[in-house]
Amino acid sequence: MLPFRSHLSLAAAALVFVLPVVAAMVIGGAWVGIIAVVVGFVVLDVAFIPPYGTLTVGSGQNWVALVAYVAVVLLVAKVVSRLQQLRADAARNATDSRRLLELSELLVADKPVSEMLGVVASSVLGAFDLETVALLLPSEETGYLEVVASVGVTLQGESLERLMPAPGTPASLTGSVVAGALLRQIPLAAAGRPVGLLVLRGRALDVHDRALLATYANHAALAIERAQLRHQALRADLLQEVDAWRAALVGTVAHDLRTPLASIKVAVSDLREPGIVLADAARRELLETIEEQTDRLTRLVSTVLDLWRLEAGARRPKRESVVVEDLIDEAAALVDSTLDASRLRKVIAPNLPPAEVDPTLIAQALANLLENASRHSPPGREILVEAMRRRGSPDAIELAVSDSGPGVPPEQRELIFDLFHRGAGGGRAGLGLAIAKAFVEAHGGRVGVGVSRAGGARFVLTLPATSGPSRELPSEEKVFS
Amino acid sequence: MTKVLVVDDDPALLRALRIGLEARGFEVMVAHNGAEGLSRASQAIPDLIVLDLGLPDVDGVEVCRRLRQWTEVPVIVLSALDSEDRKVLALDSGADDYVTKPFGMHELEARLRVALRHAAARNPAAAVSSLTVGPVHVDLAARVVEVGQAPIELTAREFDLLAYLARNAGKVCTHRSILREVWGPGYGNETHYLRVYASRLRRKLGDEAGPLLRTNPGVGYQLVDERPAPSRS
Repeated sequence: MLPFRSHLSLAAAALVFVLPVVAAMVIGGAWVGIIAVVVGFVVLDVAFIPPYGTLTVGSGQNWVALVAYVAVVLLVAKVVSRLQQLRADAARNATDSRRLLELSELLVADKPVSEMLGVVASSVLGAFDLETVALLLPSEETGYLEVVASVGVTLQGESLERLMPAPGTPASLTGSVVAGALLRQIPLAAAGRPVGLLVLRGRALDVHDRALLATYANHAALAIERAQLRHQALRADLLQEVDAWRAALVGTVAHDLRTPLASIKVAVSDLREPGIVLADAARRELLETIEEQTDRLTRLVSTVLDLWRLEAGARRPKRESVVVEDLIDEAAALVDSTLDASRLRKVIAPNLPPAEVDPTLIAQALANLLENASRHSPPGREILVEAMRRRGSPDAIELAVSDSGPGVPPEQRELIFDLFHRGAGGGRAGLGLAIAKAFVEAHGGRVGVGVSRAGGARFVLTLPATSGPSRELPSEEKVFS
Repeated sequence: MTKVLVVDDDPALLRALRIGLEARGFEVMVAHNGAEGLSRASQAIPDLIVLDLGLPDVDGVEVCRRLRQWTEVPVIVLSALDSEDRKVLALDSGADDYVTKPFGMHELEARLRVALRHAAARNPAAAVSSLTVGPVHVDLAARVVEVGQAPIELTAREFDLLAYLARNAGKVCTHRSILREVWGPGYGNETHYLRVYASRLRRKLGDEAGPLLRTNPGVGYQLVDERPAPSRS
C-alpha cells in the first residue's frame, strides 16, 4: 500500500489494517491479537501518518482514525475471545462426556472386581493427567484400608503410611487428612455408606476438574458397591450349594450308619434276652452278624473321614505304583464279610502296567463297587472284575466290575453317583458309589456305568498307569504298604 | 404258628430278625424288596407284615397302599430317621404301627403282639355294637362309655373320638385320619383340636399318665390296653 499512501485516506488504510489483525486474533487467539493490534497501530502511525517514519500523529483527524481503529479491533477481539472460550468449553465438555461414557461402559461390562477397579483408576489417571491414582478399599478380613488398584507412579513411603494407618488404628473413610500438598483423597460413598478411598497424586485441580472428579468418584463408588453385592450374592449361592451338599451327605451317612446299627441292635437284643432259647447255630449266626456289621460300620466311618479330608483338602492321594491284582485282592478283603470270594472272577490283561494310585483310596472305591454288585446280584451269582489297558491311551488302566443284577437304566447312569440321588423306591443309593466317584476323581480318573454281558450293570473305573521304567519291574519285587 | 413276613433290603437285618422271631415262636418268611414282598404276601397269606420303608424298588408307602387294596393283615413299618416323613404317609395308607430303627427285639415283639391281638378282635368289627379296650367299655349303640363298670359322661365329639380309636384299637391313628373321620372330610390339619380332646378324654377315663391313650408325637394317637415295652435305647 506504501506506493499509494499519498492517495489513500488514513481511514481507508486503518480499515484495511483491521483485516489482518482480526484474522490473527481468530487464528492465533487473544495474545497474538493484542500483538497484532500494537504492531498494526505502530505501522499505521509510522508508515501512513505524515510525517512518515515518526510516531508523531499530527492532526486531530488522524487521531480520530487511529482511535476508531483501536476501538473496532478491541471490540472484535472481545467477541473472538468469547467465542474461543465457548468453543474450548464445548470441546472440554465433549471430552468429559466421552470419558464418562467410556468409563460407564467399562463399568457395566461383566468383569472381575480387581479388573474393574483397575479400569476406574486408569481412566481417572487419563482424564486428569495425574501422576498416580490409587483405589483403597477396606480389607474383608482386617477392615483396614488396602491398595486394591494403583496406576502411574507407585505410592510408597510416607504417602502410603499416611493413607494406611498402622494396625491398631482404625482406618477412617470419611476423614480427609491430606498427606503432603499433592496427595488428594476422595472418599467414595454409595447408598450413604463409605465404600472406599480414591487417592490422587499430581497436579492441582481446578473447579471444573473437581466437579468432574466427583462424578468419577460416584461412578467408582457405585461400581464397587455393585461388585461387592455381586460377590456376596455369588458367595451366598455357593454357601447354599455347600449346605445342600452337606445336608445330603449327613443324611446319607446317617442312613448308612444306622443300617448296620439296626442289625447289631436286633442281634444283641436277641442274645441277651433271658427268656429266649437260641440254638447254637442261631447264636453263632447272630454273633457273625454283629461282627460283620461292626466291620461295616468301622469301614464306613474311616471312608467317610477320608472323603471329608479329601473334600477339605486335608488329604491328598498318596500315589504309588501298585499292581492292579493286589488292588483287587485288597478290595475283596475289605468286603469279604458280605461277598463270598468264590463268587469273584478276576480277568487281568497280560502285561498290564501297575497303577499310579493311592492304594487305600482306590481299594476302597473298588470295594464299594464290589459291595454294590453283590447287593444287586441274585445270591450266588458270579461277579466279574476285569482289568485292562484303556483302548487308545496306554497311560490309563480300566477296572470293570460286572454283575448280573437288574442293571442301571440309561437315564439313571449319571445320577447314581450323585449324593442327592434317591432310588426308585425313595431309598438312597447310599454313600458307596458317591465315595467311589470322589476317590477315583481325586486321582484324575473317571467312573462310569454301562451294561454287562449278563445284562446287569458294568461299572468302569479309569485310573492312571505307572509310566517309565517301573513298568518293567516284576510284581514280586514291588513293596506295598 | 403265626406267620410273619419281613420285607427289608438289608440281608443282615433280615437274618437277625428271622432268628429272633423264630426263637419267639413265629414262622418267618423274608422278602428283599417291595415286589417280592407283595407277591409273597399274596401267595403265603401271612398273619402280619413287617415292612421297611426304604426299599430299593417300590416305596414302602406304596407297598402299604397296594396291600390295603385286598388285605387287612396288620402291617408294622420300620422307619429310619430319614423316612420319618413317610412314616405318617404309611400310617395314612393303612399301616398299623411303626418302629424306629434301630430297635430291640423286645420292642418289636411287643408291637407285633398288640397288632395281632387287635387285628383278631377287629375282624368282626362291622357287626359289633360294643367294644372293650382294657378297662374301657364302649357301647356303640347306646352311646354309653363305662370305665371299670362306672359310666362316664362324654360329649358327642368326645364319644365319637373314643369310638373311632376303640374301633381301631392297637392301631396308630394319624391326626389326619382322626380329624377326617370324627370331625368331617373338611378337616385334616387341626391337630390342636386333638390335643384338647385327647387331654379331656384322658382326664375322664382316669388316664392322665397315658398308658391307655398313647400320643405319638407328630404322628397321631393310639388306644392300647397294655403299655408296649419301652424302647431300650
